[in-house]
Amino acid sequence: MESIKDRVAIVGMGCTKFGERWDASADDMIIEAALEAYEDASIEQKDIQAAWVGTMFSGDTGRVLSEPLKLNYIPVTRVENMCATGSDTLRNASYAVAAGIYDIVLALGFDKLKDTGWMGLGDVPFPGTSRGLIGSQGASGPSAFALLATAYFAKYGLSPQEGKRMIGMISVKSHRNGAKHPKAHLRREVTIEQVLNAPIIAWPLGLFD
Amino acid sequence: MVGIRSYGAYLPLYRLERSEIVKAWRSPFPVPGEKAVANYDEDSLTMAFAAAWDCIKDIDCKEIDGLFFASTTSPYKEKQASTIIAGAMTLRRDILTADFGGSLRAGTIAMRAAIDAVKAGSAKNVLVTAADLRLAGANGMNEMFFGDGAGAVLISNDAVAADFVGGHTISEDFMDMWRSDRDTFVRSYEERFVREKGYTRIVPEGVTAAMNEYDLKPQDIARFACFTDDPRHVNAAARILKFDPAQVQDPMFMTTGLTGTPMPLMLLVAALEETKEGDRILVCGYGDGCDALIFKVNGQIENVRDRGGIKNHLASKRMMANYQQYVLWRRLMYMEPQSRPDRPTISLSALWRDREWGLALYGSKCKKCGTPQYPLQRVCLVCQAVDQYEPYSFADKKGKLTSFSHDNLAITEVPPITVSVVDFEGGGRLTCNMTDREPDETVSGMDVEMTFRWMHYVGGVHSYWWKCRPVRF
Repeated sequence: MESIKDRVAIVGMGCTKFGERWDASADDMIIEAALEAYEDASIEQKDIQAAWVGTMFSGDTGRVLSEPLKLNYIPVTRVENMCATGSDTLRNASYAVAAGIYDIVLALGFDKLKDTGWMGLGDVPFPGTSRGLIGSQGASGPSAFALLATAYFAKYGLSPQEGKRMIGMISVKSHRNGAKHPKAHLRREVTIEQVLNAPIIAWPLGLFD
Repeated sequence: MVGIRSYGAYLPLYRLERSEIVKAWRSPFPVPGEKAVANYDEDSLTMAFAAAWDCIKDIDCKEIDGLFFASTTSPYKEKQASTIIAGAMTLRRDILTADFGGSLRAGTIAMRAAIDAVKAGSAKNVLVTAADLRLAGANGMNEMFFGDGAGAVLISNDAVAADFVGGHTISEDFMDMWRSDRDTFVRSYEERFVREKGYTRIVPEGVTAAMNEYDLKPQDIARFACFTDDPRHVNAAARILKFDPAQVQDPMFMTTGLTGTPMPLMLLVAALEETKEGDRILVCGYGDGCDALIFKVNGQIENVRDRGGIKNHLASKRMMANYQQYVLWRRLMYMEPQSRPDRPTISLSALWRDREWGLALYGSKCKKCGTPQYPLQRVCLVCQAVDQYEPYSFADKKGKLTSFSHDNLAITEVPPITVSVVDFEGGGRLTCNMTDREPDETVSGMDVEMTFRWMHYVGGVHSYWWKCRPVRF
């Protein structure tokens, strides 16, 4: 298989502030990010030849991008691949440029999760039960990742306390990075004690994990 | 000779001390003992399945040509629960299925019908299973007395372990304990009327008639396994019938509670576990009359001992934390809802299409590389062979818990869900919930087995599937 190394460049980027953004609709955030990217790239919207838009929960078809931005008569593909939606959007856009079909394309990802009013995202079906809806068994997203943590602790002989401390340190690092970034959602540092004592969401993962 | 070929029973794992109920209501009537309480994910159908599963443990399910389900608390008013149980056990389709209800006597009525069906040649092996999950109003005597459980017998004319001698039935319109189609809780009439004109009149009449018909005296009966609606009533009936207290099969009031429809079958199973060749057991069901059925145990009983039955289920128990847990499990209060999305509706066409791997927990075993996999895979997970598989049951396999998480966020009435990844003996892996467990005691590597449970109710459909649980015994 060929590589696309050195065939594609990211020439401009834009990003909204992450957060609850109660005052901003999905359209508002799309416009905010797109305009910043156009300015960063020194291009105008009419220079864009095709677009890929990634979203899982906030709408379907390419129109979720073309309607707020008024992208006229260009192909827009909506991409969804759960947590890989964003990277897959970028990947597809990149391959179109690498193939030499387009010179300038837009890859934009967005989701307006807090408009549901629920605590957390919906449940995810267990492997194999999503087909046929036998019982539609499922559990929360955090629990699917929690299974990895439990299995890891068991495989490498970590006690629950040792294991939680180890993964807690990752959260301490992430919060420290967030505190330094003006666009981050969470901007406070946390201590390892705070992480370890936070309420459990899906054992062994707590609120900060 | 028609009779009982095999037996099985089921008791929920959890028990509630009656003192917790007394404490909750500061009741002036302290009642001793404990009652068996079904988990929030159990109902009459799942308990009846468990007893039936126990009953045909070492019997080829394809031999069964009848499945009778008896209960006054079926999950459906207009849909057979017996076909769901039959489907979960992968019984054949060319069989008799029937739901018996309408009376606490439904268990013995179903037994009688099974015996008659086998005698008449309509069927060869009829599995009768009975269960109840009756609700009582809070702060009353029935709440104290009721317990949950199930009993099952396999009626056959082959390899019979307890021969059916004969029986006598009295049918009489009598309302002592009942529920109309508008009631959630069981109603009871005035206690003395119920005892004098109901139970202690009708039961002795039916039993005496049966014994006279077959020329039997009280001392000819080894065990009197008799339904009762009150722990004192069965003793009163026994005295009238001149049975010795030692002959009365313990109604298990102190350890289980009064289980309703399944009670005669459960007491019959308890008796079968303890009796030997030559012993006669008189089983009595009561409600709108009574059924008195007489069985004589033969030598074949020694080949039927390896069952969960009553003994093992009684011995394997956990105590509930408090009365509130019972209120939660029985949905007796309006609980603060989780801030979670609604469940999607269930596709009945998908449910029907996938009934074997869904309801019966069948997967496939690849004929090329031998890998068991769940659910059934047309394309093998390992070697990608297409359509080269044979059916493989996971329901009867034990396994080890490879990983788990206690999920406080998942949609459930009783958080947390314990999401579990099970690796089975012989191969194969699946992800499911764990039930009948204390979260603090869950560890990777523990031994688990599968259990058939109620999952949830959406759009009028009760959804059933399997969960794993710590190996019970």
